[in-house]
Amino acid sequence: MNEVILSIKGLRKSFGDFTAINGIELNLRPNIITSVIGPNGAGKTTLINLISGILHPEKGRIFFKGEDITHLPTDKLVKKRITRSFQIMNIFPRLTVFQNIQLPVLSLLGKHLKWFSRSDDHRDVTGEVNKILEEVSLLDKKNMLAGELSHGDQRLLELGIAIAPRPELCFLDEPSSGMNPSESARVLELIKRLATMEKTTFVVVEHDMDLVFSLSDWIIVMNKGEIVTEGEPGQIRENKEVREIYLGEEL
Amino acid sequence: MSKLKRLLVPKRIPFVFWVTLIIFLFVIPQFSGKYTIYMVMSILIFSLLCLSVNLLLGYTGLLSFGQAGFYACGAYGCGKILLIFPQLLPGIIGGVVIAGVVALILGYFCVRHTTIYFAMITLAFGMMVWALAMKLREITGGEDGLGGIPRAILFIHSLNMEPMENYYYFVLIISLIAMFLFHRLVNSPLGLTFKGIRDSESRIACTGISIRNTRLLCFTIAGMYAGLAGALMAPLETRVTPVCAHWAASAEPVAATIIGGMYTFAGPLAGAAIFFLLKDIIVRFTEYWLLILGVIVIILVLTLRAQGLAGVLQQSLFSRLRLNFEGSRNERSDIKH
Amino acid sequence: MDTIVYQGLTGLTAAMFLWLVSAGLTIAFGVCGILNIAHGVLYMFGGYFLFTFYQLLGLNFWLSILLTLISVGLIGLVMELGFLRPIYKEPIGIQLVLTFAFVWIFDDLAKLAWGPVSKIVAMPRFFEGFIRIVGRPFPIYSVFIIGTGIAMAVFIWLLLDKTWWGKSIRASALDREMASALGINIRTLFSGAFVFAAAIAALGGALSVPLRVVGPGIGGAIIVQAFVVTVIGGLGNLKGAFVGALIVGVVGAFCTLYIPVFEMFIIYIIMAVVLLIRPQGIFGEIR
Repeated sequence: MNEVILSIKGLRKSFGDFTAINGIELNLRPNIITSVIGPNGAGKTTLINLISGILHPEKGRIFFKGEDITHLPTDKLVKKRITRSFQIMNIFPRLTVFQNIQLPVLSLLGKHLKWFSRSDDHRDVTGEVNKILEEVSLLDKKNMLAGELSHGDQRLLELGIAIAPRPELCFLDEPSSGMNPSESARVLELIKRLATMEKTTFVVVEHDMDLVFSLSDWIIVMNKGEIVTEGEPGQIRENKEVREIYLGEEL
Repeated sequence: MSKLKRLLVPKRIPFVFWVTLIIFLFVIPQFSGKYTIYMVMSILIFSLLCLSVNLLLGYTGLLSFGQAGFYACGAYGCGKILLIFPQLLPGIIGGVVIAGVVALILGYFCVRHTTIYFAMITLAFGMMVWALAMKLREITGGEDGLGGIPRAILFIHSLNMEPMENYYYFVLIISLIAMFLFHRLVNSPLGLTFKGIRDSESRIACTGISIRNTRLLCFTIAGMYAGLAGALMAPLETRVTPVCAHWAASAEPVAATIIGGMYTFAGPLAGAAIFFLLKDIIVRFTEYWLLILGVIVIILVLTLRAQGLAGVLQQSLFSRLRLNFEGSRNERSDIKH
Repeated sequence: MDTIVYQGLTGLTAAMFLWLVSAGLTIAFGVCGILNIAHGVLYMFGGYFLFTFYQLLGLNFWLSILLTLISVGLIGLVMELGFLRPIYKEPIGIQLVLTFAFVWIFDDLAKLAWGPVSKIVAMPRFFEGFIRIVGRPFPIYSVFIIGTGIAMAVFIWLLLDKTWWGKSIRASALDREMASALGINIRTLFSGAFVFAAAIAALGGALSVPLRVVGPGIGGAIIVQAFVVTVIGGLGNLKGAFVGALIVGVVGAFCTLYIPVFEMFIIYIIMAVVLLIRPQGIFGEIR
């Protein structure tokens, strides 16, 4: 219970006059699913951007299993098995679904610089890619161009790219946005299954409250760049402050 | 099915086409005059330059307006070596290496930037090479350039490259090898990495790949291909002048590549041939060939857009033959052949 | 000492022409998102048209300038409406090839219309003569150029900062959709901005012909310098374009004086140094 996989101390980030993140202290526990919720503009995506190396904090430190990763660039973080998905679609549109997953797997196996062999000749890569495609239920669409998939399928692909490097810590930014209920349920199932099978620690930013409450072991609530409170789903549901922030919304 | 019928199965058509073309290229000298041989050689060399542009543009999403600079490095490098030591292979290899080294150094400045900046900076650096070629009289011969470059021998005196026909075969073989390696490259994991960078820069970092280093690698390889083109040109023309480094010279392969189609392997090759032939024909009719060429380019670009001729051809070919390329071995449908 | 000042002023004069072309390039890019390689050719047309109106037709100098601006503005309008609008959303390669084709076409058209020989214009009577600066005679016309350049900088700044048109332009540059949602007619705005950009470059060309020749190929030469200026100053940034032009112009002038051998490629060295120290340009923003 006292194990901590990610530790954040005193994180601050401003854009000009606007303070997006105002002193965040956080200790994430491993092997559970944590959700981050909060109204729009609370700083949830900014927080993920800061952790995943896309933005640099002005102040504060981030520790992964005790190691300081505050200023590491994204590609080095991935090598440490920390990955993320994006709120705005970020797949490779002109590549096929298969190739979208093939890339991170090639990179994981250190084969992405090979220049003479055909990409498809590497059987270990192909096997792994098919496995992942099956997990996100996109195996039958593997030769389609990613840009031509439906929105829901693209979200699944997005998820697939994030989990392809077999991460220890994975940040999902609104994985079910724009999906209908059955698709969201599929995503829920997938995250739960991966968390148990691959022992991945997931941190999920979400607006869909049903998803959040059925998925999470732990919930962090953010508002205006700070962490308002955190706790188990039951506690959060009862919390007065949280109710106020989500004024009128059904928790 | 008879063997011939098997060859005509839709999937095999590209293969048949390429083999026929290669055979054709090998037998051309038997029934054409010197000028035709010279033209075909020039097209082959220009194709290599277009491949260089497209490695950066079509596959990695970087538009370089300065490849002529590396072409010049290869040409001058080869020329200088041949003037001192008239052996063809060291000259060619030397030219390629020099171009590669310069690309590596200049690339360091360029690859941190994206598209627009990259285009402007490469244009500027290409012009810097031009300016250096013009100014450093002692080394480069200044505005008059390097002259009297020998079409040197290949290892032994009996393999004399002086006759146009002999040199043609040399250029043809080297070009085919280079194109084969290029084909392997763009279908390899590294090629996939390049395409990933083109499609989504932010995503590619999330797969654990360093954008900057990979781009630098791409830039260096592209520089070497441009250098190869220049190095092959030097003994052909027996003279190298600074004008081959000017940004106007960089713009031609870009235009040719886009007309041919930047998202296919064959696109730059087709574009090279078309562009070169167009220019050759138009020049004979009017001194205002830039005007006509410009108008044609504008028409082609506005109608074909990013697909280019090869892209449009492919699409119509596929739909007409009702080809289905999905199936075994995870064949890709974006970049074909 | 006086040599330094004199050379500095000479460099400043050259910088002003660069500034005008770069300003046009920056506005075209910042607002319309088009990197217009043909912008240098618009500068060239500025020179040619002034030659036609002032020298050939003998019209009043100021009237000639006005007519030149209108003429090149029209050319810019045709370019934008007919050819650039369809390709706004295409990848940058397409834009550059298209605008580059215009360079070919315009260069040959210039040869057709005015012949291959370079032209120059007689200095207008009221600008003849020199004034003494630090004891040396400095052409009055050059002082006029420097003044005009600075005045244009102020004018453009005021235009973009204070007028409704200017603010719309800045808003559209930042967020096209938002601006159009606010009722701004994007298409007209873009055309207007491009015409304005063309006119600025044409002004540079027009003012240059009493001092320098204009001929085919001038456009290609000056656009390279404008690119370097833009990279040094920071893309899409008018302040950067101005400062960049000053640096390139003045350093170039001193280089001609002290190290003539480097004169042709000193600007590339400056660019390389800036790229090393501050890759996004002096006033550029980090992406």
